[in-house]
Amino acid sequence: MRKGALAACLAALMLLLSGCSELDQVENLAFVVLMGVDSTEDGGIEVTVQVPKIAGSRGEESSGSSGEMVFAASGGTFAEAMSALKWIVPRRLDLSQIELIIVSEALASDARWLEVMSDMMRTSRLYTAARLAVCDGDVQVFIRAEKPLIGTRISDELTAMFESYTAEGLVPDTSFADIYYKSISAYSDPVAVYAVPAPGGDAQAEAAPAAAIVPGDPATPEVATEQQTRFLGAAVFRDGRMVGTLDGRTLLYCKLLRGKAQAFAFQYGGQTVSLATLGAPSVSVDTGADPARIRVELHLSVLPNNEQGQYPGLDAALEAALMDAVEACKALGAEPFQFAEVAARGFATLDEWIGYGWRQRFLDSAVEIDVQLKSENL
Amino acid sequence: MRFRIRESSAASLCLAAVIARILYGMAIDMPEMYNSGWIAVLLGGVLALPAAFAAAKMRACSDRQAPMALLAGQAPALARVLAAVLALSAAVDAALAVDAIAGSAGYVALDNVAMIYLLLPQLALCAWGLALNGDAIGNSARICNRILACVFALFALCEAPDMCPAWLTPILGPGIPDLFDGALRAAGWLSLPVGLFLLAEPDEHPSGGMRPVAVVALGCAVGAALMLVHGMMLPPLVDAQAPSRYFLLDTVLTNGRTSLSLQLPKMIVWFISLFLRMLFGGFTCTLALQAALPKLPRLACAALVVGAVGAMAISGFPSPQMAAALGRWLYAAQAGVALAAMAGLILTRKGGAAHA
Repeated sequence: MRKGALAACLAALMLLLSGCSELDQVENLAFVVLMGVDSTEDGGIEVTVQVPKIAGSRGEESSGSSGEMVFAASGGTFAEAMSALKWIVPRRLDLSQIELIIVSEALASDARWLEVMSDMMRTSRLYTAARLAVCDGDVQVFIRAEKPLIGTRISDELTAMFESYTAEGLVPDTSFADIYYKSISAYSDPVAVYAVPAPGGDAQAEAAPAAAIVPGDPATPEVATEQQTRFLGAAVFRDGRMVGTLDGRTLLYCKLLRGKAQAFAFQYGGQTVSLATLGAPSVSVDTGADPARIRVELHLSVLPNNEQGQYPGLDAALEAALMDAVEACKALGAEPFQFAEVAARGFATLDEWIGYGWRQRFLDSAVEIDVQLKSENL
Repeated sequence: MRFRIRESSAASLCLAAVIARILYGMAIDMPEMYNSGWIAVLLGGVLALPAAFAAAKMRACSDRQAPMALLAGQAPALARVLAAVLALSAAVDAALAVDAIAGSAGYVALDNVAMIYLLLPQLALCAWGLALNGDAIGNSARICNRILACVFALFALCEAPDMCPAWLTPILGPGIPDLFDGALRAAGWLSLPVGLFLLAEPDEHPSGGMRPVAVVALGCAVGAALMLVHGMMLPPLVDAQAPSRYFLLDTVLTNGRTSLSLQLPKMIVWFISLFLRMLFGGFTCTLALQAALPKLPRLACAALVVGAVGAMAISGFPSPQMAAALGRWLYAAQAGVALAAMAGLILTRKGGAAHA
């Protein structure tokens, strides 16, 4: 009896442990940290990946002196490009650790982008919670210029950078899956991080001034940095394709209207006023009116580090700035403020809501913004 | 020694299985419910409660034995037919659970893993569970339920900042007809415990007679809460065209927000709950088969169940489409069994009383 049980146990172990035959050693895997997707001149898709070196590999070809390798391959579709990439990369590709997905503006603005996103969502073990950035220019050049600054784990450095930018309100905090889900949903339009190479910043440049972080953004200061890539502002999507960009300042106002907790500085009358949100804004949408009426009541606190005294007209200036952000988005034909989520409450079913035609209603809507300021004292 | 499970163990196992069934059924088998799945679950609970009340009443009337055993003593033919129906529905549900586990394993590993490799460990686990008997399965479910509740609370806390309650609107989602269709299927899943409660033996120290009702009500409440959380994590994907199971699993298990560090515990919770669901189906089937064919030896009974579940799973019979199609009839089968058993007991008692 015992021998029989032992034999049965061994047989069961044989079956249960058979999964170990598929074992992958870490050294044999190529962990992708950055993935770039671009369109080719012949209408295909090019995929570029940056893979950190796990150990110092003297003989291996590297894109730079730091510990990362860049591989690129193209194909008719995303899946074909990935297949080609698997031939090129000398290890087994692992997409589960991706930190950032970068897509070229040309492809993001193309009608094929939604199809490419669908292909990416179907790709096995691609980490869909990675951030998505739209890049102005060639994706491969951008990825080659992206260098780890600190430590050995570029993913940590990227995370720290995005967390810092997000806290400052300069980039949206959205993942690739977020963009995709919102693209095939019926609510507000998604926004992604917008990225540009530094002016004259090729892979060999060492220190270049970041003269224009987002083209045409007067609020962007000139700084000197060794970083050859910039992530600032937002790319706005509509119907699964990019329709325009928001500079860092407009994105900040957009985030305020979306109800994100945010502290920020506002230039007013030659002074810099420190402000912070006081709770989420109160948003109401009257879908029964024609045009639809949207009213936002935003409470902000004037922080104690400001000079003592009142700031007459500050609320009106803020309201004007916020209205400019709304108009900028209306000009793009997109609604990234999450007003749709509020408006949808007035409908019983999804069919009724979709039939209402929210986007056009938003473009024709009358928006009213009321900023209430409260001075904070220590 | 015959297969047996006590009421308290059955309650723990039923609770784990029902919650897993609702989450998988609503999120993977029925994505067309969008973010109104929780309403369908609540409506399903309302439909399932009468069957649970019937089971509770029968348990209260069956002194020191399982209601099905009592019925077998009074109307053996009816008892066998009803047990056969329960065995069949439980076997199908176990095969669907096996398919769900295989699909989830495929999602996690996503390599060319043959179904047989995915199936054998599950069947081995099922056979092992049957060998240990019902109380061992039920008690392990009781422990898992407590641990899973804590882990789930941790997930909810970590992901709370990303939840968007506005995505639960428009409140009726796909519309009232679709919600009623979903409610019917949810009622089928919620009434699955009725079968096991008809076959379970009383505890040594019975604790009230409403346990089946409590299990269905709690399963309904927790299932609806899970669907609410799922709905707040994902906008209704109205333009998703025929989403694949891989895609739907991704919306549940990572949904573009879950950090890498949370994914492993989430997978563990997911697989444990699916295994418990499979063990629930397998054991209910075994118990029902034993009631339908009392002279069948224990080993043959277990082998028949494991073999049948394996054969169904490998034949490709269970699929999300099949699960959705069968879901409409599951409630009728379970509630029908409860009703017929109750009618059988009442009629035989009246007949006995008139005869006396």
